[in-house]
Amino acid sequence: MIYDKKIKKLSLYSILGALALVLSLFESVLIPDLPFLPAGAKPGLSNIVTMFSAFFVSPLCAVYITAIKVLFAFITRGATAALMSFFGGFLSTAALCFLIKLEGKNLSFIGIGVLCAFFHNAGQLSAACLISGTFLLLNYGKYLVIFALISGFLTGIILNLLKAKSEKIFKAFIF
Amino acid sequence: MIKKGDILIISFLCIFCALLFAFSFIPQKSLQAKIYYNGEVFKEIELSSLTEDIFLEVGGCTVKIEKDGVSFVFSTCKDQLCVKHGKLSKNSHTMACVPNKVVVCIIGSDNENDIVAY
Amino acid sequence: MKKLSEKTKKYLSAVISIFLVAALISGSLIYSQRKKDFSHYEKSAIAMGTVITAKTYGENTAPTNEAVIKIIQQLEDEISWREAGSKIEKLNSQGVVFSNDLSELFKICGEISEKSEGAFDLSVGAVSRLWDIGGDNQRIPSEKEIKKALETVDYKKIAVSGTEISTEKGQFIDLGAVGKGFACSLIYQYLSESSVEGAVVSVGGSIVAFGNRNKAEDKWRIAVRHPRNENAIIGTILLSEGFVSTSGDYEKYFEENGVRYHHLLDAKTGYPAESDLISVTIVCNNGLLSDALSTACFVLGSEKGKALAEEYGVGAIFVDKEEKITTIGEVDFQKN
Repeated sequence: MIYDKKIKKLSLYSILGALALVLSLFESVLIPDLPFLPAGAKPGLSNIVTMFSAFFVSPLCAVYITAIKVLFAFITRGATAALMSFFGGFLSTAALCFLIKLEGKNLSFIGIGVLCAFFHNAGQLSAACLISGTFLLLNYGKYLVIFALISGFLTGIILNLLKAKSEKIFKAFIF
Repeated sequence: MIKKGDILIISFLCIFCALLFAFSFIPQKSLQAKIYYNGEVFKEIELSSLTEDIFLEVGGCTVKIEKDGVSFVFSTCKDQLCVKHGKLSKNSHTMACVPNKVVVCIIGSDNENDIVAY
Repeated sequence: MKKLSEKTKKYLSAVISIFLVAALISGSLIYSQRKKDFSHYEKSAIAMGTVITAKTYGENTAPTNEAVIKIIQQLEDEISWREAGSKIEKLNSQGVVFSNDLSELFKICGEISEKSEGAFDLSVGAVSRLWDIGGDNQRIPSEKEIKKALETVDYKKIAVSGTEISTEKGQFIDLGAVGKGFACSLIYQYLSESSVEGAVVSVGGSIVAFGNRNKAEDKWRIAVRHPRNENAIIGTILLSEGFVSTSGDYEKYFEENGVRYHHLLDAKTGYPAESDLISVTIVCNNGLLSDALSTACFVLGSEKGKALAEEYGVGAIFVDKEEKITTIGEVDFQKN
């Protein structure tokens, strides 16, 4: 029945969204602020969920999840955080949607993860500069790129493993 | 596990990163020293554009002005607190020789604090 | 590269267009609201035997800076015991004086004296005169001298009745411990009646923060000097409006035989307070209170000082002899 499919879809998207939120909450609590980086810079573990959704479910699902993250940021942390999440999240997800179709022989999740992390940081940094009214913050840029390389690499590896070990299982389970 | 495209992306970002480090984005904010004597501005000097140190005589004090800060090198006052202060750095904002009524301020540094309580 | 399917192109264009539109809207909204400071004027001068720095924000605020400094100079003429004809000089020589402002001051200080069990006492002037720390004749007075002077130190003998303030014979009042904070209170009053949008003024290290620097709601960043290093700070207080005063053993002192004699005397012993603290900063909404309490809490030490600060409901930052920093009450303090 169509209703079944819709309900299944809704529940799936919600669970994925919740998972993304939990991961970002987890890393904000457990991971301390590093020197050289702006306060609040995190590895972006919730990106694992967005990349997973874009590949195993649909790119639109990834967009929904990003929207949920922005809404959550607005409700719990206020307008500034929401704006940063919006700029970073949507830039990163846009890149993700574009790249996900290219995943295959020549491109793995590592490259995708790295670029997504980069765009996420770039988006957030631009939002921060806009809000504070100064370009001085761009100085953080060079350290954020390194950070993005590392975190993107890690999330990419995790997704490569997920795909390799269980692509068939996931595809069957989801729809 | 790593594919061609990944290497391409990673190397591109590394080059970009290296470029960022090479061209550190620092807007030039000029550092100024303002010296007051008896409540009036005695002299204003741009520090970042100094090529050599300047020695200023004001109110019985000799003030040394360098590219990175200002210090009292001599004073006729009894407590010599001004001389003991050393070089004024951005965090301190202000130092003075109270008996001689000389006040030195550093203005325009990228110090984000408005004022210092002590 | 694989060719992009129609569906992907749809997703791609949808996401990108949403992003661009939203970015444009939010960007322009933020840009119009961005924190651009009002123009400001800064002036420094010497008054009350210390450095005054006034930073005012708004249109043509330079005259305000001049007015602020004038207020402080006038106050000095009124409350300095060294100025012939000042209210305090009259009080010390005649034992009585009439003043509206000052009777309020003495009442508040009397309350603090009581709550601090005499550790803070405006009549300690008789003893501080002997030490003259920071002055031309600073020395270690003899035990006999101190004992004799201590006999006149008793806040209970300072009487306030209406606008009349009276002291007992031999008592010597020195408002040095509260003068700067009191000046800050007066400055705040003046600023609120003036046309400036915001200002932050330092009266010898006691701070008054008023209004804001720009249209967006903003907090002033008030750094706190490190008690052992003049060129460093221990952290920054974020305050929208209020008063900050600090008392420390590093402000005025002299050393003899390896012992530091600082200017914060314990009114009960007549000697520099043997406190476990080296610096006390008080943040509250009354200038006089912040100055008086910073002295009182320093003399009392960390335990009793904490209790006093809590009793008055003010925010405080204590630094002890090991340079450990403790915050008390509500104060937005960012450690360095």
